[in-house]
Amino acid sequence: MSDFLLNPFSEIAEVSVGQHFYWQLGSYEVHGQVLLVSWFVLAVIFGLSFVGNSNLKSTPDGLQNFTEFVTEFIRDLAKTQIGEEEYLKWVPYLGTVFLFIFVSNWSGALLPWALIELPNGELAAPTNDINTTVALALLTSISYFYAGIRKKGLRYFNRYVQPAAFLLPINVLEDFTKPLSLSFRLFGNILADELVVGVLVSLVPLIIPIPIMLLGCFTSAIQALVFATLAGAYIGEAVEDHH
Amino acid sequence: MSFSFLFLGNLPLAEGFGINTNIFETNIINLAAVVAIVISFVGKNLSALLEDRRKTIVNNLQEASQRAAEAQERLNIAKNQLEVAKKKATEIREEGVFRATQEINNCVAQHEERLSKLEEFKQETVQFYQQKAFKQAYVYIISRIMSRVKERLNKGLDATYHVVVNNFYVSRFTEYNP
Repeated sequence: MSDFLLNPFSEIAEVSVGQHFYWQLGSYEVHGQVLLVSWFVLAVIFGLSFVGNSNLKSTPDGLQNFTEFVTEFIRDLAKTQIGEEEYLKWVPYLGTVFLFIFVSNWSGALLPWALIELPNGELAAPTNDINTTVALALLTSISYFYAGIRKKGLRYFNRYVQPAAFLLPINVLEDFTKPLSLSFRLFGNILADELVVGVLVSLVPLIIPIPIMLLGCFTSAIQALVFATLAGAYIGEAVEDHH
Repeated sequence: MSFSFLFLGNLPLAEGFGINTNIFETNIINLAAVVAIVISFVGKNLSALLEDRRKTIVNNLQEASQRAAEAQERLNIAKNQLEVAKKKATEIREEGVFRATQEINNCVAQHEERLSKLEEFKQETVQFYQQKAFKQAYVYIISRIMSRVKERLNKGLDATYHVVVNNFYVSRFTEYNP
């Protein structure tokens, strides 16, 4: 209390940033709270897909209808981003990315994780940890490299000197900025949302944060869509034919 | 004092897990409101969307099955027509064969008739010429006989012929018995 009176901002800033619940794996430290929520998210997705698809019928109703709707949505997304010919192979990857991010974001925005106390740090969306988003972004990088090389072989690297050879440095740079921008966009959005909500809650506990939280739900969903769309666009860019 | 309530609630951050029951700390009221809004808003739209999708699929399936039934029906009709056509074809073929045989029979009969007529005609002609020949022969014979008779009559009766004539009459008389 005295701390707060001396420097209220230090108290507020303490809301979440930089606090982690470390797990020791050998000589390696992992963020336990992220893994816990990630497992929860995986459990939700697995459970939903198994419950929804365990008893398939030709006329979908209930959960099967929902899972089919989601699958269709992801297929459409992949089709528009990657193109008619190659998109089917990348639906699983884009679907995984989209669903993981979406469920992570919404679980962070809608579930009262603060009810559960950890020894250190607090539970929140896995995507508000930079490690998760970097992992997803690097997976996307690997994916589009794999897609391009698998389709074109070594000719894939032609694209570094296109449309002109002097653009080589920029094209190489692009391969680094893509995962960087992907990971930071997602991480920044989710973390910023949680921070804003946290600060607002500590200032005005009731009613006022609700619009911001709703906005957070909206941006969370949009960020999942953006990540999946951009991943699809990068893969589509890698497999597209240059003439 | 409310500050203490707000910010000191998490002071018992003990070593280990626990349940935070501080209402303001956990922001549970706002979260409940947000969840309610999201569920009522997104849930309504989503369920409407899903219901639409289900209806579309069911409609499509129904339409497809209806079309399948229609196609089956048409197939059946076509099969029936084919059957009828086949029957008609066989009928026509049979009739054709029947007509052909009839025609052949007619032809054969006419032929035979003509043949018999020709045969008859031949017989008649042959008979006619035979009779003609016979007549000529008779005429010739009779004329010869008549000339001999005339000659004989002109020459008159001598003794031998007299005897012959008498004998002829005598023999006729002897043969005569009333």
